[in-house]
Amino acid sequence: MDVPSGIRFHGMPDCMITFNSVSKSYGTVHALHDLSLDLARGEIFGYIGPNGAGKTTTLKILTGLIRDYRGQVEIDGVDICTPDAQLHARVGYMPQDAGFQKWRTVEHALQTFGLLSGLDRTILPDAIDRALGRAGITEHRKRRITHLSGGTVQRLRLAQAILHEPDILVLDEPLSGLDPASRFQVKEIVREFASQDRLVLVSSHILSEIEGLATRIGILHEGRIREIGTPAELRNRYQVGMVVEVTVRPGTEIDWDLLAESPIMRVEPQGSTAARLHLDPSIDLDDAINLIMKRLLAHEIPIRGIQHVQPSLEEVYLQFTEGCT
Amino acid sequence: MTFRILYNDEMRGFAHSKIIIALWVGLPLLTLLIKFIQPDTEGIPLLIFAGAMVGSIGGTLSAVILSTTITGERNRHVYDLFLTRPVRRVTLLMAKFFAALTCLLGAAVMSLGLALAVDTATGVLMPDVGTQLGGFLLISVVGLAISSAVGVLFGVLINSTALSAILSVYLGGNLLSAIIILPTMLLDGLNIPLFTSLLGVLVPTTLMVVAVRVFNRKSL
Repeated sequence: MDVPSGIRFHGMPDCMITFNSVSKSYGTVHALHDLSLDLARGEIFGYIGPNGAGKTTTLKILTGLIRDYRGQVEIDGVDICTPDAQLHARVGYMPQDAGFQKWRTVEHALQTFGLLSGLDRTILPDAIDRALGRAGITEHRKRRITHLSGGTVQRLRLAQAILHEPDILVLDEPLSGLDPASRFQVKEIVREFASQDRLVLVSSHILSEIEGLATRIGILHEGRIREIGTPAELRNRYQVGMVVEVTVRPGTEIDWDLLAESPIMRVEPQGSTAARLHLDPSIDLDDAINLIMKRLLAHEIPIRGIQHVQPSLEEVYLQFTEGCT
Repeated sequence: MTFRILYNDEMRGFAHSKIIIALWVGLPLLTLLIKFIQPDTEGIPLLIFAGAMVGSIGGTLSAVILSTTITGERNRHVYDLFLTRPVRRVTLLMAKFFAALTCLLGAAVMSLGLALAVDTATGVLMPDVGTQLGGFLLISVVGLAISSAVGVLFGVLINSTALSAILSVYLGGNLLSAIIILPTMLLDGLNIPLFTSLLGVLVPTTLMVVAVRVFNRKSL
């Protein structure tokens, strides 16, 4: 399903950021095609796409790192290219791969970035304490950045982004390279920011990473927004393949292919005692389950469970991006 | 305000990464080494050798330090974290330029001062030592300013750190010293201090303007 580019997806009353027909090329490579997008305060917008889709380009345009683009980007109705936008004071940016100068300690890096963000020297120590605590790296305060692990550096990138309490938090692949505990911590920070009526824009090439986090998701592919909506909307929209999971008694010898007749379009074994049955979308779910049960009983297969499975957004996303290429 | 923060930060960076030590100890040591290798300079003051050395080695060092630092930091996206704050690109480059210049001028002053002390101790002082010392200092300032500006320009233009270093060695020190010295040798009646001062303002300013324009257009 292709969404025509250049249209506005939402005319939201709380709109904070507006991308208006934004395009960017690198030589002959078109990174962004006529991107139009509104983002509202209080939302966590998941910006999803495979590597090279144009996510980082979008974020760098928003943060002012890329200036030579076509179109217009506004924050609260003010073009980001004008000083009135107060872009730098309002945006906190966590880049995907930004390095730190090798000689810096964690504390010194935050001191410099805090001062450059306009934080007063009197409140800077408290702001640093708070950012380090939120990012969970207080114990690394005095360490040189070159001596930190990749995951800790990633959390330091987050700490510098939230240091000045921005209205808009822009996170480029924030969960990559983090262990599960750190991921949880980062997600908590994101939720906390959004709950304070601030906007969080999170990019990722792995949808499942932010499926439970984002309140709205935009799927970017080859420089164009292909889909946009809440996770529930996307799931419903892509309910093209209803899935039913069947579990049988352990130890049962079963040939799942016996079930592979209409309305079952595909059988996907899940270990030795379960399988996911992908159904013809035109059939009613209850009818389908009834039919499957009858078929299982006819083959004297001892059923332990049968349930409707919501396809994960990751599956939707993979189907979608594969379909686009 | 932003300039001051960035300048202090750069100075602290030079201190932490031992660049200041390498310059402030290394360059005066080289001056002493000249005296050690050639104890009998046949009446030529060590100040002359030190002046030539500062112009040549100091200029090369300034260009190499700045070009490789800026190229490397650009490649590692270090500036992303600065430029998403209220920091103008021109301020970032100017802070680097002046911090490097401060470090090198410190080293130059120490080398020339040490040479002067040795000349005083060995009794080979020039009759107009004040004028000579002033001349060397002026040439050092101008030479280092030009070399530093070349370093900044290469840093923003070139994407390979190795290439930045090589070009800075070729063009940063010796060649640019020639820009200052050659006209003073070839043109009679030239007001050397005025000519050198003018060069010291015009050439680095032009190079920095070009560097800033290039940097402003770059997508980071």
